[in-house]
Amino acid sequence: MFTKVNSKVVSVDIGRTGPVVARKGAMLFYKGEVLFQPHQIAGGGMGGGMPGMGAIGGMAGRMLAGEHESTMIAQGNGEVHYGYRGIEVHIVDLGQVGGTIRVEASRLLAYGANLQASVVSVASQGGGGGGGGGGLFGALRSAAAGVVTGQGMFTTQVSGPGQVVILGHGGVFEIEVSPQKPPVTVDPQAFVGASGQVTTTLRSTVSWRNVGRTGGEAMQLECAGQGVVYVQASEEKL
Amino acid sequence: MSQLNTVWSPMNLPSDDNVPDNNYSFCIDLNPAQPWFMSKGAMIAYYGQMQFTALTHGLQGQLLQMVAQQFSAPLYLGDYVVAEGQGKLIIGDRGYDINAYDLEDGNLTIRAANLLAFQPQLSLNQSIVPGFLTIIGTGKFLASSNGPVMFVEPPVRVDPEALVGWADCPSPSHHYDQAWVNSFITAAGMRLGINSGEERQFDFTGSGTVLVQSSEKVRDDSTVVRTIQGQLPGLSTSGLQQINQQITQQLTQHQG
Repeated sequence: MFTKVNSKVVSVDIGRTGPVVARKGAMLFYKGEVLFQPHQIAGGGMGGGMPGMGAIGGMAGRMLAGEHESTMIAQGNGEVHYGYRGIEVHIVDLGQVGGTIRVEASRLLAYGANLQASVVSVASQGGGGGGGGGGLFGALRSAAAGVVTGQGMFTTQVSGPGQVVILGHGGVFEIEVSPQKPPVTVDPQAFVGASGQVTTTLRSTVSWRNVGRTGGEAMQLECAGQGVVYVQASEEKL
Repeated sequence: MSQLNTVWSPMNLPSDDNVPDNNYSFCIDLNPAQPWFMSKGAMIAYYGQMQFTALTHGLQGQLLQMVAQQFSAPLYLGDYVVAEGQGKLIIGDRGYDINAYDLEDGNLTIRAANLLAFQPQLSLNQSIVPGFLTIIGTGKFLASSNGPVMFVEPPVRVDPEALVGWADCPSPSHHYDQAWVNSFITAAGMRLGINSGEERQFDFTGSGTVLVQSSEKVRDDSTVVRTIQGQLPGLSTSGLQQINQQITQQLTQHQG
């Protein structure tokens, strides 16, 4: 559905694939008759919120959570090219990774409108479809973790059969996480997202022994479970 | 395998070509018979004897005449220098891909921020589209782009921030998405001049080639400011008062 034109640009023929949702300002150019309209992500007050998905209500809540990017839906007939500020793009086929991906909204470039996107609490990560939520304590704990990783308390979850295009400064690569393999640890700033059943735990390597001498790698994100972790080749935030 | 490990010298540096395996830098063969116009700050290294002279002052004799003849873009005089002398000149720009284009009795319009260098055989003109420059004639020029340039044939609609330039086709017109324009929020946004969404595009029709890159964050608004400044002398008193009012209004908004 999405085709990589070069390392920084994807194209999609929405006449064949149906409407596409993309981050506002990401459209580069298009041929044909295409209409762009503002699109409301599920989990908000308007536009078909999905209750029980660990979503918080209302636009204000989402803005507070920092998990808000305006999106546009492209409908019609034609070929649309997407890219964002020259950041490398990466196409994820959800069918191959268990049907779900969790990324920060700011790292989400585009996805098919038939997919379901919702804002979920970081606490419900790894809960499989984000169902359970994590209770108050879980939320608090992950909030603390989120502040350190710069991820915030909430993350965007996209699920369904189709493709998602994510952004990673310097390019994205995939790291497999599985119980049979050694654990994977990622720099929180290089962490882009995860798909499948992956739990992320933030670990501090700072102790009284090495305060100020950790070489800038004080925080590490440990990934466990079964799935794929997406890492960017840079520590730049979007 | 990779030439990235090569140590370069005047002997093995290419002549008027990208440094091998490195799209982000370009080596110009400078000689006394062939000076170059160059974007200020694009030089990263050079071999030999070279002089970089600002266009705004310090030009003399033949060089001054050349600038007067070929550089008819007064708004951008401060952004370019003349490089003259003998040697190898390496240039780069923000890690963007650099491409060389040979123009043969042609014309091409390019975003001013993406025009890195050009030979003085080409004449430079301000495009009627703000922030763009038109190059006319025969010669070589260098353009930078965020990622590889995509060449597209009209009819096509392009996001203003993704547009690098266009060749051999009519200047674009604005295209506004109806549904978007009707909404009040965008109307306000347009008045503020902020168009980061998909509501406004450049519409290209006819035949020719359109050059597109992955969109970039516009570095600064200096060209826009200069374009507006350039328009001000022609305005009537009432027009100036209107603008003055609007600016005051917006300034208070920014402060508040």
